[in-house]
Amino acid sequence: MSRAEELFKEAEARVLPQDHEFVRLSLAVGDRIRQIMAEEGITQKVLAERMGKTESEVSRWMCGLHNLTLRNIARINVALPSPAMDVTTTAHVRTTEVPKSMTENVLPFLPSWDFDGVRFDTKKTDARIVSETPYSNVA
Amino acid sequence: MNTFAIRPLRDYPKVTFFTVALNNSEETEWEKFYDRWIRNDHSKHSREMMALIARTGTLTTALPQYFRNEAVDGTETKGMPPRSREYAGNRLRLYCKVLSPHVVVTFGGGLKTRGGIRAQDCEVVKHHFAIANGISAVLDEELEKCTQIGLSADGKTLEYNHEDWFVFKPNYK
Repeated sequence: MSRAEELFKEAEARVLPQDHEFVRLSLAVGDRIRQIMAEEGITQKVLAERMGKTESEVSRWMCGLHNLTLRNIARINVALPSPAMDVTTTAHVRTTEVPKSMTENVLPFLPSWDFDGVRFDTKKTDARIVSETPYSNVA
Repeated sequence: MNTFAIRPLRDYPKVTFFTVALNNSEETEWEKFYDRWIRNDHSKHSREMMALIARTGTLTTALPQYFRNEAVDGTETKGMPPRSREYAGNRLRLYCKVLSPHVVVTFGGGLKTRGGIRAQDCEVVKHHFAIANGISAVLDEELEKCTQIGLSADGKTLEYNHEDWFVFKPNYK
């Protein structure tokens, strides 16, 4: 192996997993848009028309020159037959135990309530606050 | 008179990378680039560039969108990293010539001066850029002639002689 090849291997060895992940993500959106367009036979011009944007603007997005905001991604997703970018959401149930002193002495005197996806059933002896939130919203 | 010879650098499953040696030197441009810009670099920039090269070579091929177009006089010299918002803060440049989706010849490069100036106006990289443009032009000519340098029919193999030195003229335009 030549010195150049050895040094190349050395340079490769310095790369951290997060560097590989950054590169993968940095190229992913443009690659995905290109893939869907190729599969569906959609030209850059057609995509631009569907999005109400100029062709050069779409071109800049695909080259990564333009800021791909969530609004822009939403426009692209609507303009394409399948989403170019998505976030997987899974229902996540989080329970919060209520102190026993409260379930015995306070809750029996309060009505049950349900607000914005959060339930509180005061009639259950093991009263718990149960909330269902998208996984992506859980810290 | 300036001359260059092609040297192997890295053979990935999808792309083979080459470098060049200049003026009968044993040392290649990659070695100089590594010694100057990677060996003591503690920033993410050289690591990201290497990750980009590895991804290109292992998973994709040398797709146009993974390179920045640095063309001068139709030479189609490319650079890494690509002209992308994600790499906007990365001023490290490695110039190269994409001969096919499976064959890339890398040249020298460096840390480009801040301020969005052109490669040909940057004191750090303009010499490397000029050499890259000069060699790119010769590679184009040689591939056209197909006498001393050629690509296999599938574009995957670069055919060249290790002993051949080619004359080139740095292009500072």
